[in-house]
Amino acid sequence: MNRAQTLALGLIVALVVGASITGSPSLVLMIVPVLLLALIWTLRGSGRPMPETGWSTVGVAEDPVVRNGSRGNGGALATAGALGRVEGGLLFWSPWFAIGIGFSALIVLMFAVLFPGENNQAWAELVQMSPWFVHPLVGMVVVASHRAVTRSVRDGTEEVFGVCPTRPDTRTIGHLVAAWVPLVVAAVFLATFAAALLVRAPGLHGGLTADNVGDVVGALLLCLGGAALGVALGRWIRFGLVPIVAVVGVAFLSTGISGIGGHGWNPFVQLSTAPTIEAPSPVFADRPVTAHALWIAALTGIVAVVAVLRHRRDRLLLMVGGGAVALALVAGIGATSEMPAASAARIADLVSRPEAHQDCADLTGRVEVCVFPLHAEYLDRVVADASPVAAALPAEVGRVTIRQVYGRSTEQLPPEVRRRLILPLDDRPREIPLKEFDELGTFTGVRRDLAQFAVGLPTAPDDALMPMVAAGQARGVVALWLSVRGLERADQLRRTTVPNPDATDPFEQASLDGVGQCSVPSVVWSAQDLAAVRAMIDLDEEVVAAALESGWERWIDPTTGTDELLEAVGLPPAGPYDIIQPRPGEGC
Amino acid sequence: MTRTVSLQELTKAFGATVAVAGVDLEFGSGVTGLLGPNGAGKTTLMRIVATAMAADSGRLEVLGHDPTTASGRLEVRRRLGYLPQEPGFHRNFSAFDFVDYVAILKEWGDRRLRHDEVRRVLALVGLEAVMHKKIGRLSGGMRRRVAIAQALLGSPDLLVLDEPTAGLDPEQRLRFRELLGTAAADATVLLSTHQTDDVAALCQRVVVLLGGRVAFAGAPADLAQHADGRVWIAPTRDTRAELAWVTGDGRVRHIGVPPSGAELVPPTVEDGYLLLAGQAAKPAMAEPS
Repeated sequence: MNRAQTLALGLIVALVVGASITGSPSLVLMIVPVLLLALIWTLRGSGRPMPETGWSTVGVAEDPVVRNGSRGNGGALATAGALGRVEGGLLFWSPWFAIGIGFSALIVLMFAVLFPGENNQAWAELVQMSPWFVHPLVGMVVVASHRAVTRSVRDGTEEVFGVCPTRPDTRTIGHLVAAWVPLVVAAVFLATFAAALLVRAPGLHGGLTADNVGDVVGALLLCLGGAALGVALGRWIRFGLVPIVAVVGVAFLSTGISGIGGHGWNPFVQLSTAPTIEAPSPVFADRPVTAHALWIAALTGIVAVVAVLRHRRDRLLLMVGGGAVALALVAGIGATSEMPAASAARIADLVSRPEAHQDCADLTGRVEVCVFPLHAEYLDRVVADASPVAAALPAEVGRVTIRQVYGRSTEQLPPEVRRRLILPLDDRPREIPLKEFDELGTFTGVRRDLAQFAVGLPTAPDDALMPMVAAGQARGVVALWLSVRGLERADQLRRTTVPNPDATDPFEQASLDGVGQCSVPSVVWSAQDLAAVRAMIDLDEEVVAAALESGWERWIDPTTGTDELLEAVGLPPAGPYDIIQPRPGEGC
Repeated sequence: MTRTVSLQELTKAFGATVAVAGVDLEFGSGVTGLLGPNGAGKTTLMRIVATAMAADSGRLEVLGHDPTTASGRLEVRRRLGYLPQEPGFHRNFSAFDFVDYVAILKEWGDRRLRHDEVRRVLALVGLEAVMHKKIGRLSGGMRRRVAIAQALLGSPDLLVLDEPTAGLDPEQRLRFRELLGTAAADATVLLSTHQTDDVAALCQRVVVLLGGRVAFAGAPADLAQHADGRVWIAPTRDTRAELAWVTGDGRVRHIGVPPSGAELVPPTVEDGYLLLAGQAAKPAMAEPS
C-alpha cells in the first residue's frame, strides 16, 4: 500500500464510521468519489514483482564509509533518536494512523464545515473539549504504535535486528520517541480546527482563559500517552487485537470515571482522559487543569517505563518509574482536591448573585439582556436578534431581564461551592434565564423565550420535562407571532413550521422543537395554531400589533381561544383544534 | 591464519534433539564454508556464532570476546554482519529504508554517513537502480541481495552468512563470489551452503557438520582429497558403489570402493563431501541430475 492509498484508506474508514454514526447522507455521498480514487490508486499500485535486474560491481566503491565502530554514533540516545525519526515517519504513513487522521478530518468537516452554526459557546469552553477531539486520533495511535513495535516479529526480521548492537530497550525508546509525530499531527489538527472554526463559526465568542493552555497541553500529552501505551502493549503482548481491546477498555474506563456521581458533582472527573464539561459556562468552574495535565503526563511516564521494563531493569529506570508514580499520586490528589476557597467563593457568588458580575444591554427600554463578561461579545448578537421582539411587546408586559444564570442543578457544583451559595437561586420573577449558548442555535431560543414569557407561557419544561400544551390558546399564537418579528417572511414561516410537517402524530405536528432525544420543548401548540400563526404572518403587521395592543390582557388569558384572536384580526377560525397529550421530553 | 572464532565443546539441544553436539572448531580470516545435510546443525551453529542464540554449554570466543556476557555480545555485534537462512522483510519498506533501518540498529547515528553507506552496500549488490522500490515488489533474488546488503554494512570483521546464494541465479552466484572476494577480503566469513562448488570457489577452509558434530575440518582440497581413489566413471551403474549418478555425458559417476581396473577420476569437493555424508545423501543424489 503506498502513501496515497494509506491516506485514502484512513479517510474512507473515518468517513464510513462517521456517516454511520451521524447518518449524514452528505458524508455518504462524499465517500463515493474518495472510494473511486482509492480504487484507482490501488489498481495502479498493484503490480507483479519486478524482473531481476543485472548485478554488476564494476565501478562500485568497495571501501565502506566507515568501518565497524566510529560511525558518528553518539551512543544509545543517538540511536534512539535516529530510530525515533524513522519510526515517526513510518507511524505517520501507517494505515491505522491514517484512520486517526481521517477521524480528525471528520471532526473538522462535521463541526467546522458542515455544521459550524452549532458552535455558539465561548472559545474557552470549546477549547476545554480538546482532549475529546483528539481521542479518536489517540486511539488509532495506540493501534499504530503496537503494530510498529510488533512489526519485526510479524515480518520475521527480529533475527537480523536482534544481532545488531542496539539493545532492545533502546529500540523501545526509539518507538517511544516516535510519539513526536502524533504530537505534531494533533497540534496541527487542533490548530486547523480552530482556524476553520474562526472562519466558519461566528457564534464562537469570548477569549481564552489560562486554563485553556492546560487543556491543550493535556490533549497533546494524550498523544504521547497513546503512543506509549501502544509500545508498552506491543513489548509485553504481541497479539494483534490487544491494542483494540485496550482502546475500548480505556474508553470504558474514562467514561466510567466521568460518570461517577451520576448527574451530581464528580470529584474524580479530572482523572479521566477526557473530563466531561459539567459547568454551563467556563465562568462557573475552576478546573485543576495543571493537575490533570500532570496526571496524564505521569500516566504516560508510567506506561513508557513499563514498555522499557520489558528488556531493561536498572536503577535509573526504577527511579524514573518511581518518579512517575509519585507524580501520578501528587497530580491525582491535586486533580481531585477541593478548589481554592477564593475560587469557590467567587463561583458561589457568580451563581448566587449573577447580577453583580454581568454586563447588560438594554433593548428598547423594556428588555435588558445580561451576560457574564466572558460572553460579552455574544451580547450584541443576542441584542440584535431579540430587539425586534422586544420592540413589538406591548407596554403592559413591563420590564423584563434576560439573564445568564447557572441554570443547572446545584448538585453538579462541587461541595465547596455549594456550601457558599446564597439560596434560593431561582427567585427571579421578572427574569428569563438565558439558555446556554450552545443551545441557542439560530437564536430561536431567546426570541421565543421572550415572547412566551411576555404572554405568561413557561420558557422551560417543568421538573418532569413535561411541556405546557397551548393548543387552541390565543396566547400561544401571540407568542409565536411576536417571536418572529423582524425576520424575513420565509424565515418567519420556517420558524413556525414543525420540523416534520408530514408527521401524522398530533404531538409531532405541534412541537416546533422536534421530537426525540435531547428535545425538551417548553410549549407545544397544535397544527391548527401553527397554521393560524402563519396566516397572521401574512397580515399587515400594524393591524395585528394594534389588535394585540388593544386587548393584551385578553389575549394572554389562557381561556381566550385562538379563534377569538383570528376573528379580531379578520381571519377565519382555524379550529377544531387537536387535543394534544403532553409527552415528556427526553434529556440527553 | 589469525584465529577469530573459537568453539570448544559447544552443545545446543532443542528438547531431546541435539542440534550441536560438543563441537570444537576454530577459524579465522578468510572464508570458512559450512557443509552438511539438512538438520546437521549448521543453522544452529551459525546462529550461536552470530549471537542470535546461546549455547547450552561449551565455550565460545568470537573476535576476542565472550558472547555469553552482555558486553562481549555487544562488542561482537558491533563487528558482525549476519544473514539468516530466512531473513524476513518489511514488504512496505523500500530496499533503502530496510537497509537504513538495520544501519540505525548498527549504531550508524550520523544520517549522512549512514545513507552513504546504505547506498554503497546496495550498489555492491547491484540494487542501486531499485533501491527505492518497495521490497514487496522485488523478486526473490533481489530480496536475497537486499539481505546480503544489510549484512555488508560497515564491512564487518565477521560475516555469518547462512545459505547466502539460495535463490540466486547462476550469474548472481558468480557476482556474489566476486563480491565476497572483494568486499569481505579481510573479514572472517562463515558461510553455510549446500552448493559445494561455492565452497570450492570461495572457501579457504571447509567444515562438514554431520549430526551436530564436526565430521571434517580442513581445506576444500583436503575434503576433495578425502575421496581420492574412490571416484570412478563407468558406462553403467555399479551396484557396489556407495553413490552413483548419471552425468551429462551419459556415463555414471561412482563414489565408493572402486572395482579393480576402474577408470578413476580426480575427486571434487562434492565427491569428498558426499563420501563423508555417506548413505545419508544417497537417496537424494542417486537419481540422474
